[in-house]
Amino acid sequence: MNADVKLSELAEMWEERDPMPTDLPDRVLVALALDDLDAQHEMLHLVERSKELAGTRSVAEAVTITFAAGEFTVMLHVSPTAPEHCRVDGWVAPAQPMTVKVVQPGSTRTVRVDATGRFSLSELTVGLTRFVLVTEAVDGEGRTKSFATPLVELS
Amino acid sequence: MGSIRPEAGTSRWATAAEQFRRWLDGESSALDDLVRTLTPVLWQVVRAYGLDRHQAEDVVQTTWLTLVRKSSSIEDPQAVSSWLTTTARREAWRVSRTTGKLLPVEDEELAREAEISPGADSDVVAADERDRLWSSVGELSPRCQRLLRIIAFDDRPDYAGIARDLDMPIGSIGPTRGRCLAKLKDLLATNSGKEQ
Repeated sequence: MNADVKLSELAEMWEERDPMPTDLPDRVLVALALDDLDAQHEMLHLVERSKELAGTRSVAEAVTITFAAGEFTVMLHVSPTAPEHCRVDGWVAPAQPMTVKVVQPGSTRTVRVDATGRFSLSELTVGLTRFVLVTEAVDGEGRTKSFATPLVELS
Repeated sequence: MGSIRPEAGTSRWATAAEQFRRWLDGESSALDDLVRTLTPVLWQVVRAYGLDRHQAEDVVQTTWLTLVRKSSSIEDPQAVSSWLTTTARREAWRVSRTTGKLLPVEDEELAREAEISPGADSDVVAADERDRLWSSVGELSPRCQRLLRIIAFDDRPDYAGIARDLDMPIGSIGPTRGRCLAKLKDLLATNSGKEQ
């Protein structure tokens, strides 16, 4: 006869069968370290992440990552270039001039989004990266609006 | 570096509350400890909503960023665990709706087949029981699976929020949980009968 199943047994089972990625706490800590607490960013959420099938397995695959917050979306196409480097082509919608801050541990780069909503970054170092996008347009109170992605692993 | 694993006899929730209190008192490394204590729990709560692994990581990260920004709104440090699981559930629910997914986790990496290499005899028995539990849970309705997974990883389950997420009246959460556990017990009995 089986005894009643305890919730603690179920918890143990799930932790064993579907454990978190072991590096998740470290990634969270990097994200917290890169967070600019003074800024009131709107958080962008991951909508889709898809790999492109490359012709040969020896070439690292390009990845397209889409983030959104309400009506605003940003799509990042990340393609590996040299070892440890990649190129990022981005599109924002609705298209508008913006500034993109690329935050990585120890460095920040800035690039502009053109009026068609495109931007690109070449020779970006791979690794954990956060993108902060700031509008040029201001609201009724003269403030710009900023959107931030969660930490993304560029490879 | 403080202790990461809870002391024997100390619940994960008590450990988390103590780490959060130390962080509020200005000890910055206590936040690292808190992240290591509760991230595994948040992962489980978020995965109950059927998010894929990337989305789940994203929601867990957002939950921690929200904590750091809104820590002053937590009046009782003792409640930090339930504040975090509630925030994670809300966010996971929102993401699962925007991506049109509200399914139990059935991913490639979650094959319900036994893949555990047997060790000593007692381990074999334990692994068998765990396999039977795992496959029986997989036969429960998606709603039962989600409800049990959320409750199993919650310090103080927020029945109002869970009821809204699962589209159930608040008063039926308790009875449903009881029915899900009873159903699981039946499935276990059936599945252990099959093998003998």
